Amino acid sequence: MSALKKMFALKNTESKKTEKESQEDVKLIKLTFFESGYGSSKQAEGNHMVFKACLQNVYMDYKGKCRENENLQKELKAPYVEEKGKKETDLKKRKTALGLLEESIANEEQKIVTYKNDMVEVKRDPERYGLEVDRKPKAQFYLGLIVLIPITFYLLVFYMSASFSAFFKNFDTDDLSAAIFDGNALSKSIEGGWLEGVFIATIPFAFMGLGYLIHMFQKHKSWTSYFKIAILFAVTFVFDAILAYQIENKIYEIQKTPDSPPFDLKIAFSSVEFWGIIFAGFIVYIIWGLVFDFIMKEYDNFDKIKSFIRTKREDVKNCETNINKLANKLIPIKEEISGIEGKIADLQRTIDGFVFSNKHYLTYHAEYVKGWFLAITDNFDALKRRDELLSKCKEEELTHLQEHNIDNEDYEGRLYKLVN
Amino acid sequence: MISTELKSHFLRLYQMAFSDDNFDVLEMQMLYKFAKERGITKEQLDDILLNPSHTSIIPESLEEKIAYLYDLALMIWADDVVTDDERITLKKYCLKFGFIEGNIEELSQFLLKHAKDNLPKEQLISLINE
Repeated sequence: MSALKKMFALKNTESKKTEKESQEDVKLIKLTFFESGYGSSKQAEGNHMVFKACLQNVYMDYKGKCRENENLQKELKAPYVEEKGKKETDLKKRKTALGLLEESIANEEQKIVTYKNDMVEVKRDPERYGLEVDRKPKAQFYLGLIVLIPITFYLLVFYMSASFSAFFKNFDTDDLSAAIFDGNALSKSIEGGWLEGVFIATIPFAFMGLGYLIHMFQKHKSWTSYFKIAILFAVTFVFDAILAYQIENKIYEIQKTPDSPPFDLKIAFSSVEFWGIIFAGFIVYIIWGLVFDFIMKEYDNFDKIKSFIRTKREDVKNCETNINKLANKLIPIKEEISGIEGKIADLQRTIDGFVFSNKHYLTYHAEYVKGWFLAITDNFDALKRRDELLSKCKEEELTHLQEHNIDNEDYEGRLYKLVN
Repeated sequence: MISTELKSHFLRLYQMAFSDDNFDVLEMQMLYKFAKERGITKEQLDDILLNPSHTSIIPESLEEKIAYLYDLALMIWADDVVTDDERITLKKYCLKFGFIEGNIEELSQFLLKHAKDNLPKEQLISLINE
């Protein structure tokens, strides 16, 4: 035999054959019962009272023998042992399932704890969760807002009056001091017609729109968006310059002397008012854009934390539904486990106790009764007396069987009886 | 890739282990996870866990026994690591299949070694029968 074959050798399965009572033995016992029945009947002259006592004696005698016969007990208990094995397997399965479910529940609960912890911790240390956030986004947001709101009003007022001056105002010499800034721009423009009023009131929003666009383009940090931002700045600057040029032009027209040269860009560029308008408008506009951009970012920041917390909250909810589902599965399994454990305990009691075989007993009982009755028929010639004895004994036999619950014809169906 | 045949062999092995006193509940939980990680569906596993036992018979022929054990060894190698738990499990199955106790260590090592090289089952069996 090769080494490998040796390695794969199987254990010798010695089949321990339980010695069954041989047919011979059974025959012998049956005969003993028959003889004993016949002998006793003869001795007692078939008396039914004695018969009753004898039957009880046979029953107790058989019960004692049945209890002592280990092989028989083993044979009788085999189905119970097998059933118990099956139930134990089932129990192990259910316990495995229960363990797995409980583990999943514990996992989900652990997740909930982590999520809840994350919700608290994210405010303290957002970087740990991959959120790039300033330390105090809220404070910075509100500070930015405090600055942005007055600048917005400033821009509104400035562009309203500047546009009014550039597009609609008729300059008189008295008004020169208010050439650039006109405190009554809005009311004057409304006087000039409601369209004029609307035009003046809405023109600052065009600038703010430009500022908003710059913020939006900045979000995508790419070449094209930087290019777009540059163009937006240039356009705003040109627009501002046009306003300044027009206002400057109007002022120049009034102030010019017959020998003044015609108004041109060169004159405009060298004028203080021209640059004043540009700085008061365009530079403030840039500041507005930057502040706006900054507070939007801060808003995003605390929005990030909020949305992080929101998703965690949803995760917690999901976990809770999962736990509910798992817990619902747990209940029937637990019920099954206690059911199976009950059955196992029941089977164990049967196995620990002793099993009385009705079938076996009835075989010997019948032999005994046969012997008894035969002795009566053999020894009593008087027909009346014989029949009387037989019927009395028959009655006793029936009572005996009834007493021990073995009178039913279907005893085959309930072969074994547990007697503790 | 773990074939369907391998998986169904494993499911039978799993079923068998429940009626074995050598395997306790914790080990059965471990094997459940082992199988789930290797693509056996939760439904199939739960089916075993939640249904009444129908006795699964231990394979009788030597070839069949080796085939089952070898499949388990292949499953163990599916994740490229052999843990102590997996080694112990394989040994327990060898014992359950009636191999001589003294040979079991050597036998499981032999199976794992060839499973690592992915030797076809037929070749393994002919190697033993030589």
